[in-house]
Amino acid sequence: MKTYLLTFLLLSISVLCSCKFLFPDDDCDYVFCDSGPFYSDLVIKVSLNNENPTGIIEVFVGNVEDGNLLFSDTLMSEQKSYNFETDMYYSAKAYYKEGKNTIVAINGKWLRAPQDECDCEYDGGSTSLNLRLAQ
Amino acid sequence: MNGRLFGIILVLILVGTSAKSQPVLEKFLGISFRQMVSKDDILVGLAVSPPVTGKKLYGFMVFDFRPYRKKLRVQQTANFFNQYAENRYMIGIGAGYQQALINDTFGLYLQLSSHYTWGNYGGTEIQPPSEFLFVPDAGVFFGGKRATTVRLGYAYQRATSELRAVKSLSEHKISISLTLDI
Repeated sequence: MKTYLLTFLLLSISVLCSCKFLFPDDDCDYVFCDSGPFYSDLVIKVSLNNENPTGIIEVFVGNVEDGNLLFSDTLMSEQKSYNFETDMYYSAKAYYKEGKNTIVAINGKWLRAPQDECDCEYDGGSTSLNLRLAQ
Repeated sequence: MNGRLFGIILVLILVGTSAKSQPVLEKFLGISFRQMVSKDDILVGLAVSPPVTGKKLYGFMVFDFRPYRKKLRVQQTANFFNQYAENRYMIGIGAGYQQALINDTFGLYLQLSSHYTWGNYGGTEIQPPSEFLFVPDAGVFFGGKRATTVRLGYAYQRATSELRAVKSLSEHKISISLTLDI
């Protein structure tokens, strides 16, 4: 019984210590966070090879099926950064030829703004979206 | 920031105090850090069980996930493929039997677990298949000091046709786990 009580006590304290409720961060009491919008880099990575010397991509807001095409681009290098508004889900397609086959690589991620020690969001940071061909 | 630091120090002191009185405490939980590795896939996870040291039969609950997105090609028409980036998760329950050969420091184990696996593809509404799997796992274990057990074995994870068609899960895996009884 003592074991369970001690473990429960330790776990409870661990949880509470991680909460600002028990140990409020004094430095952040009078900080007013910027409400945004914030912008962060979306780094799109593609494969380039003899058959695909350039990377043709399409970037969407939401899933690709939603059809909200943001833009198309032709990449001359294996990765390129785009600065987008955060707190949005972005998806992208990359088109490849492989012999007679056409391969469309699809991927998507949430773009989140980084946070400081007072949990205030700010511009910056990056999220990578891998559209490289499977090995 | 100072408050958070104070909290962490308080927890460390309490944990340290409880460590001193460890012989009095009964161990009541086994926590396992697991990996299932194959040539083209890795699943990592956590299993919880009653303490396993010195026991022959044990049960466990497990949660595994793939710590990255695996690229899968799905054929749409004769010459047209979509390549998706798949997240995969598993939960399961299982039971095992272990036979010590040299005290509790070395032995053999055999375990069978039933898993439900599901996943999602990034950037699309299309979802990969979900299904139930049976995963037999057998190998050797090494018992260490402070009630730690390391298992090294072979696991067979045969998916049904849908998941096998997209090569989401590899059938043959090496399973590695480190169990701590606390």
